[in-house]
Amino acid sequence: MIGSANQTPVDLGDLRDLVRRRPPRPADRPSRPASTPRPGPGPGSEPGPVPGRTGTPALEVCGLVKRFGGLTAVDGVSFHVDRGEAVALLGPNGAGKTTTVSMICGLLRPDDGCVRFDGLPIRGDTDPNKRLLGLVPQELALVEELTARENLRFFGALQGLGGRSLDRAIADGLALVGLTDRAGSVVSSYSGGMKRRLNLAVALLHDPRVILLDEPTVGVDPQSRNAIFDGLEALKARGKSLLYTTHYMEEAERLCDRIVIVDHGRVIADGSLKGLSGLIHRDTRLRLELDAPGDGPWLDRVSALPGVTSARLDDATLVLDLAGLSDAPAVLGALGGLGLVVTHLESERADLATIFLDLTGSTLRDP
Amino acid sequence: MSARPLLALVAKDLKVFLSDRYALVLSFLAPVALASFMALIFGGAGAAPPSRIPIRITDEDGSAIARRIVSGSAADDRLDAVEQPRDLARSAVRTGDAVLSVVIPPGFGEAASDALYGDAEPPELHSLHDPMSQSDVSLARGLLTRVILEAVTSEALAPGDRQDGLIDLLSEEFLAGNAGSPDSDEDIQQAEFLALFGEGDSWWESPAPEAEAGRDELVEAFPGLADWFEPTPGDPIEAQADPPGDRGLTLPYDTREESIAPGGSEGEQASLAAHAFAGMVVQFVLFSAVEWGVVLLQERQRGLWKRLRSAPVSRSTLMLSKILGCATVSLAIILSVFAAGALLFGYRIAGDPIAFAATAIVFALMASAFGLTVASLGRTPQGARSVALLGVLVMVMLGGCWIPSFLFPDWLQSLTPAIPTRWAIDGFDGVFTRGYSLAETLPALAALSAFAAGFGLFSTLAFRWSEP
Repeated sequence: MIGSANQTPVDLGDLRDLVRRRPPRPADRPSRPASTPRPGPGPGSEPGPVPGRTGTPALEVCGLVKRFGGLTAVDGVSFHVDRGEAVALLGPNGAGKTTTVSMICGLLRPDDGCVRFDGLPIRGDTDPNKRLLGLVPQELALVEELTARENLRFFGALQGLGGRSLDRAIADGLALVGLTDRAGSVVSSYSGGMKRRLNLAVALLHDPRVILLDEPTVGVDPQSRNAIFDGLEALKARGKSLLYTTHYMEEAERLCDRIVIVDHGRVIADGSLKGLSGLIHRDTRLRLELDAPGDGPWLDRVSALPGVTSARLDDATLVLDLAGLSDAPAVLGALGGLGLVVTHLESERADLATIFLDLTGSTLRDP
Repeated sequence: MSARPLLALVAKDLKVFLSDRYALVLSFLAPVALASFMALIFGGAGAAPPSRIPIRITDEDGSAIARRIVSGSAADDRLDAVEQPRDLARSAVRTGDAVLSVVIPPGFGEAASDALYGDAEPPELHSLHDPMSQSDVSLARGLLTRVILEAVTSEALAPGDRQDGLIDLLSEEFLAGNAGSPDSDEDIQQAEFLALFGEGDSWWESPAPEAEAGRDELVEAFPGLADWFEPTPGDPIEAQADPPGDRGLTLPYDTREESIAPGGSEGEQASLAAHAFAGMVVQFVLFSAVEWGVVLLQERQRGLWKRLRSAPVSRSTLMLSKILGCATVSLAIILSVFAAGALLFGYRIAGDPIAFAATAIVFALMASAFGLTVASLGRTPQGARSVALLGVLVMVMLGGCWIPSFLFPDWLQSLTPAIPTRWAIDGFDGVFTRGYSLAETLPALAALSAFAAGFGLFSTLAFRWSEP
């Protein structure tokens, strides 16, 4: 028996089928801009478009720098979100992710670099271009004493909406998050999941191009989470650009086209999930329980097998990292040739959590 | 019941309590601070002497008696007596610079001398007082009575020796058979008599042999004196309406009382009620403003300000919205509380209604800016509330909301201009009691505006827009 990504045992035959069914490796290798940040222009300046890309991204972050005293919290962060694209911004706690988000929202003034929406910089607190962004803060930024409709009316007015356009936006927002029936109830009577959904609806009122979602599903029940995801996928389908920060890897994998990982204030990886897998030089990890493996030079020979990126013996379990699942049949055959008897086998695909752990050396929840 | 869980619960609660330094401040230091303050005011250990009572004397007579009254008042170390023309003196009382003004009218000295012997109707002193300072006014009146009696009797008995003069006077009165029937001014005569000896009751009651011998000599010569001080039980003294000239020593003057409060004694009571309501309005508006500041911190904590600031709205707009919201509520409190007081106690705006409106609006804005300052200084809602409430309590005390500020020592009174509540109380007292015009309210309005601007500017610069 072998296991799948979620450790469910499968037959070896199934593994061979999986190998056959596996799509070809992606040609697009991810960028790894980690070590040397691109020097950014001053806060007020307007750098040119990012080289190598055509069209104006919905959101462009160029060389953001933020220092707090002697601490450089963000050190030249650059990335972009194209129209209709969902990008996950991941990083361990303290990596500079929140500071980056705060600068994108205009809550913090960068010491260097710039943020542009549709190619337009934000100049000052009252810049109308701020309407290009819809913020879904991590906190439930709602007025609990008001009804959902009153909340939406209030926040809509702040965005300059009024009259029928505001009424329409409120109705659309409520429908999108499934709160039309409870629109007249005060928010303090809502469940946590309903508040989260309303939190999302508020950000959509003014029909922004870019929606920044800062951990929008914290503490919600699966039903509400699904409702939120349905809404987000609908928005993406409508061509909205999403920048998504989360601690839930499966959410990023489900929703996002691209992953940006920041650590120590820098972008250490930026690419598709498949592309990021290439950064850690393995796609699949096999755990093979051996029958009396004993000592000997066989481990070096296994390490040298084609497709094997690393091999180590953990008690009686041989842990092999493979460049791809398609390498597995040949490797397994070679093991038999070396006289090794496999009694049990599990396979793991390199998921985002694995990639993240490999790249940052910590889990997302580490302080 | 098991002791272990109980002890664990108690220990947990104590640890939580001790971990909140603001709660510690309020629970332990605040009572000590407030009690020390009250002790300082009411003469506790090491307290400074009470301040001198400001009065004005207007001498329109110019007689020797009038000059003695002026100089005697100035010499009294409990009075801060200033001689001024009538108009200035009245103005000083109306604006609160003095609690009492006394006008000595032309001919007072001569008439008072005659009245002392009961030969003429007593002349009138014109007095104007501030009802907001009742205790001060009463004390000042008592001190002035002594000064006036000394002046009148001294002049009336001159040029002979004072004691000889008294005996002459007493001989004339009592040997004529009047000593045994004191008239309605008996107490005053007694006070006057004793005052002439300069020792008050202590001389009459002193067990010293010399004093006793003196008393015996006097009583022997004038038996009526014994009745003054030792009335015979069961033999009540009946008041008699003696015709002028047949009376004993009489109070040599009358007083025509006038208050700056409109409406006589009822108006005076209403003014006192207005003062009490002003104090409570100021206090509770500040409490309300503190809560606005706390709510602002709670909103920041809940991430609401993050969302607000992501909208195309300036920080000054956000701050101004808070000021206007709080000011609206403050204004509603001011108007409703004063209106309730007016219905219950009958006071009215004696001054310019526009001055009242201006004072209410400016104070409401000042309180709102103060609330923002609380939010700017506080790191957490709980901490901000604790410290701010303590600050408000100190401000309302120093501002005279609880107890009249004239009770404060001089050094403390000199600090009150730096307290915004003092100006708010001045403004409201001005329009309700002193009949202030808008121009006369301007100092209070200017001070409150300056405080509002200062608080507002500080808040805008110091407010932390993100959670620390």
